Amino acid sequence: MGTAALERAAANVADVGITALGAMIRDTVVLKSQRIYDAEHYEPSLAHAPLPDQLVIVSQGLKAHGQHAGRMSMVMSLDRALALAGLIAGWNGQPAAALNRIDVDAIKELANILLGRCLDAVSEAIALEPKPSLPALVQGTLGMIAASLRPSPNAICVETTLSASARGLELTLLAALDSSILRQEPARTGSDISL
Amino acid sequence: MGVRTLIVDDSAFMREIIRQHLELLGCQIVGEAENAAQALQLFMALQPDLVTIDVVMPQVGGLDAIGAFRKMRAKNPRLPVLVMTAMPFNQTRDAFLAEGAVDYLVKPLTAQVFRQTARKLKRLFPDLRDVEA
Repeated sequence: MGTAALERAAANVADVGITALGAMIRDTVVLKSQRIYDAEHYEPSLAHAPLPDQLVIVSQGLKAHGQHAGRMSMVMSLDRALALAGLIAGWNGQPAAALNRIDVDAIKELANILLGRCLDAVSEAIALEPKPSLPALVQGTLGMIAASLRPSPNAICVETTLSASARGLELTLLAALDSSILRQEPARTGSDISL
Repeated sequence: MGVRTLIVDDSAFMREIIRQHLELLGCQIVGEAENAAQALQLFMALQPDLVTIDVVMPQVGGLDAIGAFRKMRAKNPRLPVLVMTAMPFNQTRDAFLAEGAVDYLVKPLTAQVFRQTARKLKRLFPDLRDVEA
């Protein structure tokens, strides 16, 4: 697929992410940054990101015709995950120190919604309609998360960071799509398209 | 008595949100299931008037959401079923609507999204409360 189509797909991801997250937290959400890069630029991208040590990730594998086709993930810091869970689950007072069962359920569902919208948003870039797996939530260090998120060598990644500054919330959506399901081989390497 | 409703969703958090929306309309939640197999069991036992069902849930006994949907509709061809899912894909939406789903709601289930569906439910169940404009 061409660069223009990929950038349109990325812009769609930002639009639907802003709308869906804004509806769920009832606040103004803005695009903080967005990058498109191929898998070989993945590690430098994440390693250079100003993320804290403790992260929460919700991830869904993608399959097309029974074959691995990519991964959709939502990443945020633990403290922001706690704040977000409190917000969408309706807790009052200070956020808890650790995610409880309802928090985990709420964050997984929020990720499920955001990632589903994002997958639909990149559909013009995809030749096959992939099936997402159930969302799985993992907590860990940056190193653990980076390893678990590593895309397959032939993947193209769209990394979108959204922010609701009034609530101090920030999360990153990472769509890693295998070139096997893209309409045609992208001819693009890592670069920022909007910061 | 309200419209006897079965909620099927693997997320307890979402089941609670759906329950709140439906109870505002005057539905009576008679059961909640977290997978398609449990949904089918409860459907047979409770014979609800209305079912809401999620699309992506853990498969138990090889039964998925569309399978449960078909079995319920085979048992009661007039059963109203609302699909409430995070999957916005046209192919999935078209499949459920073609097989008779009342509506296909894409989460998040905001008040605005739910109001449109509430109007459809009101036509099916006139005793339900009116939704706000």
